[in-house]
Amino acid sequence: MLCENCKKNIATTYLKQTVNGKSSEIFLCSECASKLGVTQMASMSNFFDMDNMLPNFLERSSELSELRCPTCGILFSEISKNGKVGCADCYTTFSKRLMPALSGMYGNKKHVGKVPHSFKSREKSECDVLKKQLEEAIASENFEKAAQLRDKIKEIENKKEEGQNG
Amino acid sequence: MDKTVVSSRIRLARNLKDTPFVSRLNPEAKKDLREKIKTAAKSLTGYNFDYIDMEALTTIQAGSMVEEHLISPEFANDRTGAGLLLDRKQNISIMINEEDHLRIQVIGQGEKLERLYETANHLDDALDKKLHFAFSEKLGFLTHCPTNLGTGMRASVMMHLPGLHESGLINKIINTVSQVGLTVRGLYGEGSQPGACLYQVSNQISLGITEEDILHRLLEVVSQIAQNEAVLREKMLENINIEDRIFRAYGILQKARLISSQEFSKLLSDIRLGAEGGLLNLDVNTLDELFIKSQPYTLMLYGGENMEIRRRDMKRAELIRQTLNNK
Repeated sequence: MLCENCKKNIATTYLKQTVNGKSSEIFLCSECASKLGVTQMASMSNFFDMDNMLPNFLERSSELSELRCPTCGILFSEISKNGKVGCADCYTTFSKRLMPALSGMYGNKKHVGKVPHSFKSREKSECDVLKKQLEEAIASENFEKAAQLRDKIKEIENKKEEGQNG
Repeated sequence: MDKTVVSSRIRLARNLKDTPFVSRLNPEAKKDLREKIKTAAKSLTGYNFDYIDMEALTTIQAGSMVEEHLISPEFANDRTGAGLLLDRKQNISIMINEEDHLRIQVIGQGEKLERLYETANHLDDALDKKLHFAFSEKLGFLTHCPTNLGTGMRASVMMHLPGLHESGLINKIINTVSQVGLTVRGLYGEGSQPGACLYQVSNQISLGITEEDILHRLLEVVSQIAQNEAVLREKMLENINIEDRIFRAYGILQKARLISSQEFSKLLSDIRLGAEGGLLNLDVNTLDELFIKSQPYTLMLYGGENMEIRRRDMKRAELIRQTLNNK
């Protein structure tokens, strides 16, 4: 279906309007829809659409919106405008700002699905590095550091076990 | 359920660990990433990927791919730095640089959803080994849009629902399924219109739920929708007005000289209902194929020219006549 306005792009938005009992429908591409001021919310009034909920959630938290992600350079204000982050690290950088919005969408749920192999081996190698550092710390009799490292290793291993059991 | 399910699809959204998301990449960086993903996919054994440079395609070629459900409309409209990998034999497509770095998609007509997921999951594992996907323990697969966090998976089932559509009960279903984390959309996904009484039922939530539970929940709802549809259809088919409408639709399609795509959508749903209800001796797969071939871009692709609307309506009518009269 082609956009009925520009007749060039593929229509992605369907708008049905009822005025004084008379209904009309039009098919638009996203470009024309935004040009004509048709928001996705209006075009999808019958549909539950989470993509539009996120900017609404984020809008409410406006202070600190000039915070910038060191990895990709995106500003928090940009994220709150279009509801999409700039890179994987944004989820850590803006964790405090994003979490209320995410809990609004998901409750306080954690990921329970598939864990990719590359992540498992990343974790494993992290543990190996720490264990080596622990040996070195013990050898050099730096017991304070050794205790810290031991706790950290324990934490990672516990987490792994929890993941396997749950 | 067989009579209402048209096709099923699994889509996984994936991103590389240390690369910013697509919207933060300049054209050069997008091309580098595209090359990296392409090389990784091509090196896998057990797959036979054809690579398509999306920038090299015409609007008509890209539009036709949307009509074939190989790519999303957004992917066709913005093709800078984008690429597509296709394994036609296994019905796998990988969109490179769509909203996420990779969108792995497996489509099936008759295959079970679980089987499609197995295929997608297997490919996901193989690609992760080479590319290392962005992932966090708490949020799962990290995606451009937070609505895809968690499994990054969207499972969807395309259903033909004339009974629910006509009775208006489909709106009630749309409201009900949203309460269990599912959504009902039009033919080409988000924001599109329900052409030919075809609806896509898919999961909306992907965080805090396992892949298996997503499939399970979706299939349960699909089977309930199918049961409701079956009851309504039985009543519909007993109604002489509906029977008359089905045969009139068949008559028009066999004889007409001009048919718009909107008119065809409506008539196709009628003859499909007739075929599924045993009134018409037509193969539904042939009808699905005809539906795709009769869409504007695909029509222009095979018509070999940039046809005006009236020429397209003529060509469409001709194609339909040929198909229905030579079955």
